[in-house]
Amino acid sequence: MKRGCTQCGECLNVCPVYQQYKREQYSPKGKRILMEPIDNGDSPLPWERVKFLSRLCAGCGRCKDVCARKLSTADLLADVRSTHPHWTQYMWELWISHMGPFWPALGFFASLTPDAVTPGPLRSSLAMAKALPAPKEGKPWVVLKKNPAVTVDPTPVVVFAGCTANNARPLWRAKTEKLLKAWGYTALDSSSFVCCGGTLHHAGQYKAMHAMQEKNTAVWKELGRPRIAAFCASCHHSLAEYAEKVLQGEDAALWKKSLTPLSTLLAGAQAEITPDKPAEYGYHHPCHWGANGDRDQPFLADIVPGLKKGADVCCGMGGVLKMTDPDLSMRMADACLASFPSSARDILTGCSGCAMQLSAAAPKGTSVHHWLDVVSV
Amino acid sequence: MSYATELTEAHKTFLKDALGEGVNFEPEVTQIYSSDASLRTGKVFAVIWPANTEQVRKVMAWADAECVVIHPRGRGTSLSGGCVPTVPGIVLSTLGMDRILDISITDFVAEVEPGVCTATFQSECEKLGVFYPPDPASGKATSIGGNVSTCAGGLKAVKYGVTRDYVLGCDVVLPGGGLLKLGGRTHKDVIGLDMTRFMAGSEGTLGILTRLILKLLPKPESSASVLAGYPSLDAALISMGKVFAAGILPTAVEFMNETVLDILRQTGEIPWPETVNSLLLFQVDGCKETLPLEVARLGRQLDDSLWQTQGVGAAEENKLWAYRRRISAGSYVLGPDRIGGDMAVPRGQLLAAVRRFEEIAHNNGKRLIAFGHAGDGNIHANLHYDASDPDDKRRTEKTHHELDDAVLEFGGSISGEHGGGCLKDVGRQLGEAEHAMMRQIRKVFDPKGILNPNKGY
Repeated sequence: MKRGCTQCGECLNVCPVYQQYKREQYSPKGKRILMEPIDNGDSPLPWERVKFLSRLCAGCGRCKDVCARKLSTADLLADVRSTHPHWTQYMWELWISHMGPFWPALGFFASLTPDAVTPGPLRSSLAMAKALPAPKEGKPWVVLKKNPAVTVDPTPVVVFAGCTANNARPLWRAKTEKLLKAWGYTALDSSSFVCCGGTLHHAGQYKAMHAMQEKNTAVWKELGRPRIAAFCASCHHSLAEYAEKVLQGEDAALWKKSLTPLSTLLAGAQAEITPDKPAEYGYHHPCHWGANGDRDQPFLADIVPGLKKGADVCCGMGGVLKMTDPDLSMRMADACLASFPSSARDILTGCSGCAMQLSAAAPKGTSVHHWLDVVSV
Repeated sequence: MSYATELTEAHKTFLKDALGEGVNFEPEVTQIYSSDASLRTGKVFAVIWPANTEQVRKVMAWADAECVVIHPRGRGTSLSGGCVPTVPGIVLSTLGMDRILDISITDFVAEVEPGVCTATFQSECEKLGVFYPPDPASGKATSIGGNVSTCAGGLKAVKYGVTRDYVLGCDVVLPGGGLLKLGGRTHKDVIGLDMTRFMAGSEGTLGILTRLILKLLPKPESSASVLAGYPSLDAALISMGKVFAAGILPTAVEFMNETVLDILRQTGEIPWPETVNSLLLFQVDGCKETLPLEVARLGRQLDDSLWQTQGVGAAEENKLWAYRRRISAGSYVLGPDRIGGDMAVPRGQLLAAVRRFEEIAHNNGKRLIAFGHAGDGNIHANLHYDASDPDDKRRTEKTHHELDDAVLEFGGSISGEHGGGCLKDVGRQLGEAEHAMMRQIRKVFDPKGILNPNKGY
């Protein structure tokens, strides 16, 4: 049986929001002290007094990793937001569920707005919008080849691209399908999948999230329960929870077994590095792999020498910060980028959200890419 | 003493003028600072985050004049209620003072503000090739100021000592606003009374620490760990005795009793055979050339173990220490609520004390989770229970109190690490005259008793 927070304080050091403020009320512990009674319906304080703290969470899950009771403050905050909805949450649902096809166009118009005339409070949101249109394709510098000695599992594979890739970075999905084909996998049509629902969970928009989960599991079943290739750590994290929260019995076990990071499907790849490789590059660890579960980092370390891991700082993209406090979200991205050695100005990652967020925040001379951007077949 | 029972508008205006953004009166903030890891609560008028010594001096002069109680607080991790406002007052958080001011690799001295996170400071030292040894197991959660206030111990105390052994000096702001600059950057200093030592373990009762001067050591070149399994705790501690008798001084020695092994068995994979019921975890450090010899020497003394494994270097060692780290989370299989003890006994009494504690627990229908720093005789004696079951709660609290009585039978201390806080009846351990003298000393520093009342001693 789980009880509430023990106030051991282990979560302070790992919480990226706390790191920005250095005051206990911004830590998971501080929020739990206020929100557990709200969740239980016996809070001495009204919701109006505590709601601002409920919205300051990047949903990174680091607090759960270090918690002796394995309490997820991100989940608790999502629960209380769900029972105390705010209009921005509906806006976020609208943005995720219905506006996806318009993201690139909106980003294009945003890019026409000069920074100088943008009001201060809107600058961080505008920077994010400007990152939405896909940039001109760079020159890949890793040519991947399948190791002929590796036998490929004949189970068909379907790519789960996620809403970011589907709407703003279609190249990632196309390249994934090309890689799978080159490896000899049978890739199925993935166009019926919708958003994984993770971001709507953080927003507390549970009804819309459940609809997405139902849709995605129905698609998987219709396709004959294939393996699911995910190239985004956040999508993978969210999809992994389906096995516990959406599916039951054999389907739950099979879903868990089927969900596979793309890098795992490409294990043993042979890599040829071209002269276009930057002298030094960094790797940003997405929080949603968990502290010890990053599947891309060892894959990349194998195929490209000299991988320089960053200081493991959250990029600030997750949770609800993009709608509740975009400035804080951007300050977290700045802190993340500043944690890399100054010589590593090319940064790779394996999460669609991290890649978009850090691209938007990157100063001139720094570029951030999903690793799919730099590989070719 | 008659303390202020509320803050007047004039009080609030003073605090806003003195601290600007560094004060908050809102209940959604004060509630968060009204408790600590003891889960006891008190009333907080306001929380302040001074940014420098001058601000602390202003506040302490004002608080003394107005008889407003001040509760100093680091990261609020005290298990003994050291941060709980026993009297309504102001919580002074040191988190606004968290700079590392200097790490000198020639003086082997660091100067830090009290709010620096212990693990962050250690990591910055290691980047420069120097070493700050005190390492409470909760070092990632604690602040240096909190460590000094409680004289935190930790895993490496057996070889390197506790926090007070590394405090060379400190700046202390007294009630009334006076500033004491105690000690200095020398590793030796015998002029005058050693008042720096008074501050270590004083639990925020003498003054507010605003700067700490800490001793550093050269960083050991390498380390190795050995995990050894035994049929019983008796066998394990006999083996540990042989290690010390052979002249080996490990960096750390942790023990785990049979209940802990049962918890580890229930909560995850274990590499040791079923016959293993107790563990010892050793760490040794030194230079790369001699470390293998030291590990081999240690291994020879542990030849009576049923099972052994070794790890050399951080990555391999972490895998072994992960079993020790699993205890805290795993213990919840024995109940969703916990009362923890941190008694210390003379090293030679460890086995007898643990067995006596287990007997007390058993007589109350409880199981004792005993682990800790065997090299220091420091026992983490935890009891898990279900607080919603009144009978379980009563039996657990009874056991906890009986353990405190029992530790004194062994010539021990009711707290080796966590401090008296507001939970321990220190009068059971301290002599009457000694206790009275401590209180007189406290009055010299704080005549009106505005600092952390009802805490410590």
